[in-house]
Amino acid sequence: MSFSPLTQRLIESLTCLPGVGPKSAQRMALHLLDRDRVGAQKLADTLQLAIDKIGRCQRCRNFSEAPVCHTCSQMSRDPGLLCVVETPADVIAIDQSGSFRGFYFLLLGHLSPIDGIGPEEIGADLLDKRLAEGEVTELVIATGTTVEGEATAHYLSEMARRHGVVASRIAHGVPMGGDLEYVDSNTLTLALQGRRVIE
Amino acid sequence: MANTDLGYLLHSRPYRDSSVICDFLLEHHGRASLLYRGVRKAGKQGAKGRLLQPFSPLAVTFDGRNELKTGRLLEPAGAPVFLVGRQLYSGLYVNELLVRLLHKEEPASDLFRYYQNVITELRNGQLEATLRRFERILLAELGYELSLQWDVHGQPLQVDQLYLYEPDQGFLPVATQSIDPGLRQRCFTGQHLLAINRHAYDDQAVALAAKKLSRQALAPHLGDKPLRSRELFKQSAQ
Ligand SMILES: [Zn+2]
Repeated sequence: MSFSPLTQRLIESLTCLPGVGPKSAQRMALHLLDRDRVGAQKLADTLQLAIDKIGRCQRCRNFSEAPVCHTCSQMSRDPGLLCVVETPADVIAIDQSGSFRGFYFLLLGHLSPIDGIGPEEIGADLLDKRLAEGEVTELVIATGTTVEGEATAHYLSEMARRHGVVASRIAHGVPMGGDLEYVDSNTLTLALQGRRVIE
Repeated sequence: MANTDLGYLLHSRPYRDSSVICDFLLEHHGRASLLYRGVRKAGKQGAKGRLLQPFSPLAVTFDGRNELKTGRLLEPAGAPVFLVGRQLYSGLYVNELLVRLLHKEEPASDLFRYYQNVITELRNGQLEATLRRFERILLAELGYELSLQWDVHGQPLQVDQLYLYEPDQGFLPVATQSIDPGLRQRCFTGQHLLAINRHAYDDQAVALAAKKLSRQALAPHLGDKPLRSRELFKQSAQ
């Protein structure tokens, strides 16, 4: 037995979601059609609206319906601090920690020459313009602790230096509440390199 | 049957939800693609995935006969290496060259050993000379060894003669008088070529000529897709 052409198309469309294979896509499609038509309608409308309306913020490149996003419009933030992150999820994570009150800039990835991702692709031009405005005094670089994240951090620090802006890198190290024996050797090496004198 | 080898990760890309496809340079198996399943996870389950970083030696075990092998064990095979700044750009450049030019599954043990030296030398801050030597060795490995002693006619290179590099052929002597400025730009003096052969890059003019020669020699193999890692160096040159 096979599904009707439209049912089949729905199943196939759902497999574009991360972590959704043919089996779970089939379960989702049947659930929407069989059990939750109201929810399905809402999902379809919202999806359509989101695709039509959500673009990129002109300041930080995060998702936004407005030309400048909500975060970039908050006057209570410190305009001297600009934190560079790789993804929208990183912004949420840092903002929820409550320990950063500046603005953000999203690279939407990191430099990866082999994948064809160079300075242009990570929005280096836009960041360059932002630093040229002169308001930012410290660029807080929070790219990933991978080799590519490190190369990206170095590239951005060189850019900051050209503009006379201080560049700082968030520390890498041992996670809180963890035993050292479970920490991998790469992380331990970095933690040792970044050790601090106890005052 | 499982294979065990020593290797360096050249590049990795996420595959599906939690897997990674890795491009390795292996001591005995040359360049190979290994799929490590379920390693992109937080916490203890992702420990293997976090080891998958370039420039640090890794002991790998894999099986499979297809082009994409299945990675099994993965362990550090020495202290992790962290390249910084321009060392890192240089390392990424070397890896990009290997991924772009080295054929898969052809043993390249000499190149592997040299790659280990490259990482040590980059770590010691010897960037230009290391890259130039590496490019020469890679070209030789690919079967395009540069002969920096003889011209295309089999005559020894002359110090005061001007030469044009012809891919697949070698160094063609050109008459200094009849040459237009554009072509002159692409030429090399015999003196510089002989110095490049001795890897005497302390002389800035020789270092520049060596860079120009590398570009010309690599260009036919790279086709019309430029090396993206070169873009990283541009800013620091400013
Ligand atoms: Zn914004």
